[in-house]
Amino acid sequence: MKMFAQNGYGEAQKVNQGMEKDFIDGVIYSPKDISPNKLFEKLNEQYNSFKKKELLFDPQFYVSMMSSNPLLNIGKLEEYLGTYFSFESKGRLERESNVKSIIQKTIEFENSVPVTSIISPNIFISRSFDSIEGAISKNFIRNAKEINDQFNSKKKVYATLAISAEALMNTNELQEFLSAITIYDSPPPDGFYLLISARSLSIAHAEIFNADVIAGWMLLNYTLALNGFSVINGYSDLLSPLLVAVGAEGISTGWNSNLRNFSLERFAPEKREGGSQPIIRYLSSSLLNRIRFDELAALKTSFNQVTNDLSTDSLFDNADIDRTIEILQNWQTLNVISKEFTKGTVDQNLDLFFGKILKATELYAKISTFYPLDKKSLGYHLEPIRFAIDKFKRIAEI
Amino acid sequence: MSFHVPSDENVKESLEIYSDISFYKKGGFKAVYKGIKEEIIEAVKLNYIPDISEPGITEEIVEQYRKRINREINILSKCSSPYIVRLGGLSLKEIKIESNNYAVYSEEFLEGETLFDIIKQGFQPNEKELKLLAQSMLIAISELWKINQSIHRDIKTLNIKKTNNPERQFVLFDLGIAFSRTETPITINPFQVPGTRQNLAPEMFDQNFRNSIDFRSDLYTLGITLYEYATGKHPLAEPGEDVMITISKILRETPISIKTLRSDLSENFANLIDLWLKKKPHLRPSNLGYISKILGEQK
Repeated sequence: MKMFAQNGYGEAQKVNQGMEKDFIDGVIYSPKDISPNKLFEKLNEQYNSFKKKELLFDPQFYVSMMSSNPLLNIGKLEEYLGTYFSFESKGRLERESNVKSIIQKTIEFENSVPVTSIISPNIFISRSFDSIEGAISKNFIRNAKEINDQFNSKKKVYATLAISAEALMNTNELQEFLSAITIYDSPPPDGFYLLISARSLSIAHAEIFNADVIAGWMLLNYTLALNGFSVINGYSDLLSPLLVAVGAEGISTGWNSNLRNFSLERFAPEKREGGSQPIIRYLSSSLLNRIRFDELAALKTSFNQVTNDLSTDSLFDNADIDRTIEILQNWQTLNVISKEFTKGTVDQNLDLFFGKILKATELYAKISTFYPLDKKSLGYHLEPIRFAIDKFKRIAEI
Repeated sequence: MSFHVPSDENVKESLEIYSDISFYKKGGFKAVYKGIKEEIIEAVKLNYIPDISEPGITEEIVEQYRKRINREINILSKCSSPYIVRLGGLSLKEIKIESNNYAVYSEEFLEGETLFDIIKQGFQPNEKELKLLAQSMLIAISELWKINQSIHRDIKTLNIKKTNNPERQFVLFDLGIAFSRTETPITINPFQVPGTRQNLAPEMFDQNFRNSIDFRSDLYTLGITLYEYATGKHPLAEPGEDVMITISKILRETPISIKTLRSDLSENFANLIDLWLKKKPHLRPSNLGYISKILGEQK
C-alpha cells in the first residue's frame, strides 16, 4: 500500500516533510498548480533527496473538453499548452490516431521530467459509461501500454480513469465497462489512476458519501486488482482505508478541500464571496472523520479514544497549529489506518472495517450526550459506508 | 433424427488408407474409431450429417452441421499449443455409409484417460498436478483466443485427457462447439445454447451472449473442471438433478468454496478456482501474467 500526497496550491514544505517523516510514499503533481519550470525543479529536488519515493504527474487531460465553459480557469495548465496539453472535441477524439498522438505527447513530456512512473492521459466520463466518452476513454486505456513501451523507459504506466460519481451509480453500466477494460487484446496498462468526481466541491462530500458511489468505487478497485492491475486512487481521502481493504495499491489526499475531493469544478469555479480560512482539523482514526482542533481539545480528556496515539498527536498540543501540521497528522493517520486493512482477504478486511464502523457509531453516540460537535465532524458518513459495504459484497459476489 | 454407429467393416471400406480400424467411442452425433496408418494410430472422427429428408431437417440445418465441423478443423489447423489435440493425416471429406452422410477426418490418438474416467476411479490429484492442469489449459485457452477470438465453450473433465507424455500431460480436445467472436454465428436459432448445460458459464444463458462472451467463459468452465477434478464433485449440480434446477443454480447460487472440500490446497490457488466460478466475467481473474504468478507459487 502506498500513501500519496495529492499536490496542489500552497505546497511549501509539506510534501518534503511528509516524505522525510515517511508519512507518505510519494506525490502526485497537478499542472494546474505548478508551472513546467517549477515542476521540473521540484521533481528534480525530490528525485535526488528521496530515492525511494514515487513521483507522479497527473496530466489533467480530462480538462481538455471544457474549452466552451465560460468560467474556465485552468491555472498554470495553460503553460503546458503546446507541450502535451490541448483543448479537444469529442469528434476529434473519436479518431484513434488523435488519441494515440495525445498519449504519445503526454508520455514524452512526462519522460522529460524525473517522474518514477507514467500516468497516461484520458478524458472525463461525465454521465454514463455507455457513451461516446466511455468509448473514447477505453481507447485511451487500450493504447497506453503500447505507446509507453515505445519509450523504453521501463517505467510503469497507469492509465487515467476519470469518472463522475453519477456514472458510477449505474451498476450495470459499470460492470459492462469493467468487463471491457479487463480484457484487452493489446498489452494492458500496468495499472490505473482512478478519479471519481463530484459535480461541485460544495456538495462533494454529500455526493461521494453515497452508498452506490462508494460501492462502485470499491468494485472498480476490487475488479482491477484481481485482474492484476495496480490501482492508485486520486483524492481518495477518508475512503482510502476502505479502498485499500478491497485491493487498492495507492491512496491520496492533500491539504485543502480541493485536494481531498475531486471535481472538475476546480477548473471552472463559480464565483463566491471570500470566506474565512477553514478551521484546522484533526483526523481521528476511531471516528473515521476529522474534528476541529478545539473539539479535540474538549474531547480528549473524557473520550481519549478520539486520539490516535501517534507521533503527530503532540503537534496538536501547540498553540500555533498550521496547515502543515494538519496535513502531516492527516497523512500519518490515513497511512496507519489504511495499513490495518491490508492484512487479510478482502472479506476479512471488510469485516474488520465493518467492526470499525460499529465502534465509531457507538463512540459518536456517547460523544453526542456530552459535547455538541460541528456539523462536519458528525458521523453522517458512517451509514453510507455501511450500506456501501453490503452493496459491494453483493455485486462483487463476496 | 437417429444416429447408428457404422460398423468397423463399413468404415474401413470407405477409408482405405487405414490398414486397420476399430470403434473407440460414441458421442452425440459422432463416432470415433482407432485407425492404424503406417503403424501410427489416429482418432478417426465420423460426424453424422443429417439429410433433409429427415423430419425437422432443413438445408440450413445441414449446412450448420458442416460449418461446425469446418470451424473445428479450421481452428485446430491453426493451433500449435501442445495442450490442444493435433489434426491427423486424414483431411476432411464426406463419405456415405449405408445411405447416411458423414464428414470424416482424423486427429492424433491421445493415449491416456479422460479426467472424467480418472475421477470415477476415486483418484484425488495433489496441488502440483492441479496447478499443472490449470497452467496447461490456460495456455490452450489463450491460444484459442488468439485464433479469431475463439472460445472452446465445452471444457470439461470428459474433454481433457491425461497422457503419459510429461511434455503435455493434459490435452484438451473436442472443439465441436467452439465459438469465434470474429466469424459469422453458425447456430441458426439464436436462442439455442450449445454445450453441456451443467458446465455452461452463466453469461451463456443471456440471449445476447454472442455479442458479449469472451475467453472468460472458458475460465469459468476451467474452474468447474478443476473443482471437479480436485473434489470429485461438481460445484453446483447434484447427480441426477433436473437440468432446470442446475441452470437456476448456475445463475444464482454461489458454490461452496473449494477450500471447504480441499483444505490442503494453498489459499491463493483455492481462491483462484473460487474466483473463476464467479457469475460475472470481470470478476474472474484473466490476466495471464498475474495468474501464472499464483500458479507458480510453491505451496
